[in-house]
Amino acid sequence: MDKTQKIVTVLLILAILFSATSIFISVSISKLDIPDKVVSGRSVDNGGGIMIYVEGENEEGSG
Amino acid sequence: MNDSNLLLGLAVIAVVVSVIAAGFTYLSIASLTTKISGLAIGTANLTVETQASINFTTAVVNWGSGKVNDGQTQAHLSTVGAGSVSNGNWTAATGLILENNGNSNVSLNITVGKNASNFIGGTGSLYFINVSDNEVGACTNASGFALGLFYSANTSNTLLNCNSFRFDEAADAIRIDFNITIPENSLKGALGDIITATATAL
Repeated sequence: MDKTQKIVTVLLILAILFSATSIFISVSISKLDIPDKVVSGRSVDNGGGIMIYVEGENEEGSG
Repeated sequence: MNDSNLLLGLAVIAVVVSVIAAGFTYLSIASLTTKISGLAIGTANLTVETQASINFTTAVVNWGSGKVNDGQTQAHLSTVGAGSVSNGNWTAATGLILENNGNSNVSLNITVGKNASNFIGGTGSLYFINVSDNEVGACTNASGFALGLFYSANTSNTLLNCNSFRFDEAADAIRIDFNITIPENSLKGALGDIITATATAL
């Protein structure tokens, strides 16, 4: 095997290794579960109030 | 096996593996795209809940004590602006402020606990309520409801709706104003009503 053939051999081996790595990464990504966003929630505030004092006596039959 | 055959074998293996890798990569990206865009219907392993939270930062409108002026049949009280009182000696008050302090836009309903007759009583009593932005853009009004317009407060109504009440700090507060008319023969003593705001995360 001359020098050029050795270089080509090394490059081919590297190509195989990188391709194998690519397969591994692809398989890993395919198994990745990306969570969905679920929106829920409810809030109630019944702390708002209006107040007034009306002076005087209630009339009979009023209201 | 001579050197040429070895190289040929490696080249064939490299091509085969590369083709397989390309196929896997294509399928993975296609799958990832559907996950990111939400095109696929699937089961999530994790649920991220959005918190809906609202709070009355100005919780009470208190007009204090007073009565309809002599010679008048009714008094009018409003919380609009700095508040106003006419034909009566109550103290002017401003409206309620409701803030979205959660982390999500919400839809909003505001309801009252009473109507004019059982809140104020008498002849010709009126009880009106309106919602407006305290910070510009806070409330996107629902269909059939206008911001800044007074509506009759009625327990049987789902009174007011914001389709979207924003949570952004610069636009997360609305104002709730009241306009009431108190006739001279109204109920007397301490009168009041409870205002309830219900928010649902969008």
